[in-house]
Amino acid sequence: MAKKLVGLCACTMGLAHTFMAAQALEEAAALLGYEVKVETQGADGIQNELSPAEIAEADIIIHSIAVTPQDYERFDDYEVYEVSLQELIRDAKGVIKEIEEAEQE
Amino acid sequence: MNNAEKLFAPSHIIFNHEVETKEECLKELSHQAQVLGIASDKEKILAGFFVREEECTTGFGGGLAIPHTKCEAVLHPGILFFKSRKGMDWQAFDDQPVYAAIALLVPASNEGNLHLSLLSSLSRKLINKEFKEKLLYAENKETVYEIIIDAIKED
Repeated sequence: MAKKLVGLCACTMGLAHTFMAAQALEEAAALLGYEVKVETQGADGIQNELSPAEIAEADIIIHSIAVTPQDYERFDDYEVYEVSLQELIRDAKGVIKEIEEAEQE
Repeated sequence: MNNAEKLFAPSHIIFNHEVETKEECLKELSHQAQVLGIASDKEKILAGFFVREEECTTGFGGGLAIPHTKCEAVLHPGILFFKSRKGMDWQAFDDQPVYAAIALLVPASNEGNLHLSLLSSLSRKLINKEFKEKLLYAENKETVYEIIIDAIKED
């Protein structure tokens, strides 16, 4: 079964970086063999919302947020990796690989 | 006028192939925003653009930038387009020059959520490589207008 990765992206205006980061994460995760779902909280509201079950089943949870997102408490009981929107847009693959290495230790 | 036409019109398109820097481009965009009545004060718009750029570049790679600002000097939401064939230094994510900038202007108040969702749907389309290239290779303003207005028309 494929490993699962979920993400949450939100930037200050919710007009550009949010979507770019989400796209970068989706592409990189798929490339590395993950089943991936990324929620965005942007100017068009919450899209692709993560359910509690999806969060619970995820092997990796990534937050890339510049604002406090809505329904943040969904993630309370889980280990969340926080990365900046910049890092994700620039090198999402590198971000995931670093997390994988950290998980192995 | 429908919602898309309120956001974007042929007069919102600037071609200036001499421009080589982000600063010059943002200055021209701010100036045009004031001329068009989208903004009340071009200096405040320019400052707004810069704040955003300093937080994080809007040069998302592939020759395209999406400068944007939300501030009180924006009177109503608008989209502006700027093209320089020479290529502009934008400190982009891929360290490559930017040839086209799509500026998104949003008023400080949260009125007009419909416009906001049109702006974000345009932004989402700009991720699409094919759409991005169509815009980048558009050689005249008529083509740019058609591409953008089609992208923000409500379904």
